[in-house]
Amino acid sequence: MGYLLQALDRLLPDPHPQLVFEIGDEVLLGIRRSGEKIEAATRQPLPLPDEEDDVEQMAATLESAVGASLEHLRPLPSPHVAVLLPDHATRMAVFDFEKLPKRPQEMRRVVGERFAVSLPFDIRTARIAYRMQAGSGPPSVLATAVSSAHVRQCESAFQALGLIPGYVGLATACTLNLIGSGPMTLLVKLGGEALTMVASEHGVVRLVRRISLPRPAREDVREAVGEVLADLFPTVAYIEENLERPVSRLLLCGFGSLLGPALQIMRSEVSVPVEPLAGADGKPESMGTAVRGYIHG
Amino acid sequence: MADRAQVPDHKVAVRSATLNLASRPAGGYRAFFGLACLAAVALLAAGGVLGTRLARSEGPPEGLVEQERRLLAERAELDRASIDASSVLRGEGVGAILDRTALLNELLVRKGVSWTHTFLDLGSVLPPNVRVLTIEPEVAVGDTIWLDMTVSAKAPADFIEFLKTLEGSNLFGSPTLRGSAPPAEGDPTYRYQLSVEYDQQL
Repeated sequence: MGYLLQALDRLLPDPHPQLVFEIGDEVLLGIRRSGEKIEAATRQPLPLPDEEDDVEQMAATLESAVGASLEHLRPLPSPHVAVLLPDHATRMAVFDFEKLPKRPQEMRRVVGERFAVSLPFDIRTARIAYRMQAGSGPPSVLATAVSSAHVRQCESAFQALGLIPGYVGLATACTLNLIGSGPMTLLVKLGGEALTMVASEHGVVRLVRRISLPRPAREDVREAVGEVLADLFPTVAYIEENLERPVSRLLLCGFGSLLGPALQIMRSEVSVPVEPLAGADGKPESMGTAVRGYIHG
Repeated sequence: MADRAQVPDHKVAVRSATLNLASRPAGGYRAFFGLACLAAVALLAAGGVLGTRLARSEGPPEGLVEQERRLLAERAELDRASIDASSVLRGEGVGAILDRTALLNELLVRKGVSWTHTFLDLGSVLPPNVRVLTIEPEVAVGDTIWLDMTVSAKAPADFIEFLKTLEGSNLFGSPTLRGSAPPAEGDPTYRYQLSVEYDQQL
């Protein structure tokens, strides 16, 4: 019966949820879509809890924001929703292999072992998802990991309102759908306190690097951009030396009010073409690109 | 205004939907409902076929009707035989038979032995010079009666005659000699221990 259902699932795949929520640092973006067209969108404040580890307050705040979002997104097409988690709560990495394990259980164990040294939470409680990448080089795996408790906390906020979060993904992973399959491209995403850089070549993710940065100060733009550049230059050099490919373009995502100055500074200091990553409406904002990437992907 | 990267028209290799971290990943709803619909259609089709066949059939098959008729006739015949047997059992003269049967059944239930009949039957086979000293009846498996006896005889020839008489009788089976003792001081007779099957006729 299971095989029959899987075969039918391949034959009749379910449509992606029409409600998509992206959880940001201090804002929740919710949209209702029809195909790739966004029919309604709303942003609700998502204040940080007084104490960072106050899980109950975070869940209550998220539930309240989701409830307020639903009022703007009615009529609800179905209870199925996709939830995109912020970068700071998740881990994404690329693991190269000489030979990929054949059995899924073995594959998951190996990916877990590779993750184990870099996760800030116990690997035994981690929720891991991965996909194998086909490229010209050795086989590699694009993997994501997140604390199970964090996922359950987010899911419970949606479930409490009668929604079914059948897809919980990473904002950056969804943003990658907007990059395209050209030569080596480096996505530089600054959101909240996380700077995420993803190198992609012909649709294959070759490198993922995530750095925690203090929240950029709006008044000192040059210093904030300088901190990004301090991590960007070594990354570009690493790609050219170790992946043996020159970076053909830089795509900036997020940055908020820093985007304009960052573009200006980077174009003058980086020898690679720099462009803002924009959605279909051309708005180069961090919040929303993940949603558009999810819709596009 | 800054230059902006265009959203690619084609699907790229990075498909984020495959990296699903949900506790209960979505998917399979259409497949499930498709399978459920297929099953429902199959059941409806099977029901329709059976209903059509039932509607087309005018009655039960001839073979079954004939078998039912034959069984009913057999049952009526058995009922008549039962009534006849009951009337015979209620007839005159059957009462004595029933009383005797009840007595026999009671004896069988008690596994009892009539001493009167036993001594009468032994008396018919005992030679004059042979005496029964001890007798112990035993009901064995199959409701057969065995008599363990000790007898005394003036001479071995008298005992041999007793054995022959036993073997010739319809009431007793072949005797089994279990022991013997010659005359002793104070008792000038020969003593024999034997077992014999006894078919007591009541």
